[in-house]
Amino acid sequence: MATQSSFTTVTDPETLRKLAEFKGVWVYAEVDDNRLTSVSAELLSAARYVAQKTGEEVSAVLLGYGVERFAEELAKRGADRVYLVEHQALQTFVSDAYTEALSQLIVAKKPSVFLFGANRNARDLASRVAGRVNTGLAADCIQLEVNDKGQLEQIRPDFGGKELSVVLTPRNRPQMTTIRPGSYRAPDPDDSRRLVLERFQAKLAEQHMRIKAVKTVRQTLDPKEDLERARVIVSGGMGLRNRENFGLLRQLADLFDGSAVAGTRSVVEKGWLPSHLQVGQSGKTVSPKLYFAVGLSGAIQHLVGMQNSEVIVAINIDRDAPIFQISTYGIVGDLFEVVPLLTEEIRRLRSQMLTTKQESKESVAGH
Amino acid sequence: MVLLNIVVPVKQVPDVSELRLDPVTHALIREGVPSILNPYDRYAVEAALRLKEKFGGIVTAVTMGPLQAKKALQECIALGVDEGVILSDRAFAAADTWATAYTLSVFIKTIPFDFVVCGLKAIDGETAQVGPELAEFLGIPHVTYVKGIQVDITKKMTSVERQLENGYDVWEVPFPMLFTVAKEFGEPRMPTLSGYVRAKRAQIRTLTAQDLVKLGGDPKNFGLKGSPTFIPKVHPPPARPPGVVFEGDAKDSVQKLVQALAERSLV
Repeated sequence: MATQSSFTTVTDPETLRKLAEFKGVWVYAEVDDNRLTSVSAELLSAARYVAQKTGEEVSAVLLGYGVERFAEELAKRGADRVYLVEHQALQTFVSDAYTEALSQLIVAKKPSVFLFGANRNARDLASRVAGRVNTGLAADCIQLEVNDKGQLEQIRPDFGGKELSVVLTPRNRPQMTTIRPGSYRAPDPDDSRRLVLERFQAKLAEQHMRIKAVKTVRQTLDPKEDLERARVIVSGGMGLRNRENFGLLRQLADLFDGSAVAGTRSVVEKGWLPSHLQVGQSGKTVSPKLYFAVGLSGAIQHLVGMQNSEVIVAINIDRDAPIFQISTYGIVGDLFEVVPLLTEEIRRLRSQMLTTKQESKESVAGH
Repeated sequence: MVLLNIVVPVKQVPDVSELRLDPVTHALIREGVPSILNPYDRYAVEAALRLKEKFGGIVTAVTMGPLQAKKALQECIALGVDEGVILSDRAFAAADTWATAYTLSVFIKTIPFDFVVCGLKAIDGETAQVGPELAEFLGIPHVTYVKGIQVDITKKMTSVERQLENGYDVWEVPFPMLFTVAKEFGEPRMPTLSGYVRAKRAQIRTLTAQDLVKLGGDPKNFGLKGSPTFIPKVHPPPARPPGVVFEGDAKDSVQKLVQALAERSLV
């Protein structure tokens, strides 16, 4: 991608007039395995942020067959309008029919910004659509801003998170972006928001339906292994020494609802944890409320996958480990001493709080 | 007997694991970093070679980049690829994924192909976009994240299995088509000694921007000028505000930590 700033300013009046025809911030509401993917709701957060800066409307695009039932939720979570594109050929994701249907909607309605989740199917779709409607696509962004020219700043980590790039799409519309899951928090549903539904009929010909989906197999994740939804993650590195010692992390995690145990790439390569529990550049990107980094030094490839966590607690014997540079709290010490103490101390505090509650209840009852 | 024409677009990339940050400015140090064949492209080469071994045919590796990227093509030839083609011109420089896909498509359209096989993504940009965009410019179907493929030569039909985060799909797709290869496809082979010898002797075809214009390419779509996206700014990742670190007696540290977490209603 280019780095010359002379290319970022558009002055030609004809181009400016064309760009002005594109309005509105769109999100791709992806349905997979009969539900909205969690990143779809997260995109609405990002879209609302952008729309509030540009003074535009937020629309969600629902593609599929028999998917109207998801429109209400999208409205409640922040979509001012929901475009519904239904067709038998859109029953499950196939790249050709989906690309054509979505491209027809873009050409007809001309959005200024179009956000997709950076999961596999949506990235695939966004790429081919960008090719068809001849526009730019910024991959796997973690943050969006709007600059003083009203252009979308699409911020993404490069080289495994070693640097951040700001990507602009100055002369083409829509400005298309895929957003890494976990980068934004899904807005809470607001029951006072009303659904505005607009149906769109895509015209699909035989050449748009060359791909036939013959089998779709999906596994549901054990909630204790769903890192992208976990509110608390206890993550371990090579300091754990062996597979069995991850039991210590499990005991700590079990004190929290919606918690999961995870690990670094080295740990997964050792076979101490399965690969779907890997956090980092080549694993999952997570943003829980609380992230315990235990016995892991904090290689940049790991940090890029967890640095958006709200609170990071590092436990490491090495005071110079890079993990301490990004942690909210840190304990320098032997994890085999610290983790059991920590588990015990939280338990003690919980039971203390419970007793206080009961006492205060009793005293109320006494009056 | 030659049956299939297979094209593998590849990329020479900096070895990301060798990249370091300047300790003072936190900027990326790019000098002196070795260039390698994009590791994901080795899986694409592997998939192409397996198709060739099963059905016969010719595998052509294509790259766009500075002339030093010939080395990446030689690596492909050492693995068993038949031909190497490099698209090299200053006019191609700083292309984004759209312009890269366009430029590759101008050349690929001029040769016969049944399959275009791409790596899942490149380890430098990590966009995974060039494959689908290239398929669009070639006007053929594409399938991403392929872990298995069965080919029916007479019906010109394939059955592909694509690996997703939470499962997999099986699609039937006619060829010519493009697919990108998931790691689950199988471990890529190592180059052989005779492969290295062949690679050293191989003639690599070089095409410039002018050559591509003669083949029907629109120079407005090349390189920086042709790229819809631009990167005006690059900066180091933001530093988090410095945290609190407890040292000394473990029991004491743990109590302070739990106290702090309790104040944030986290325990």
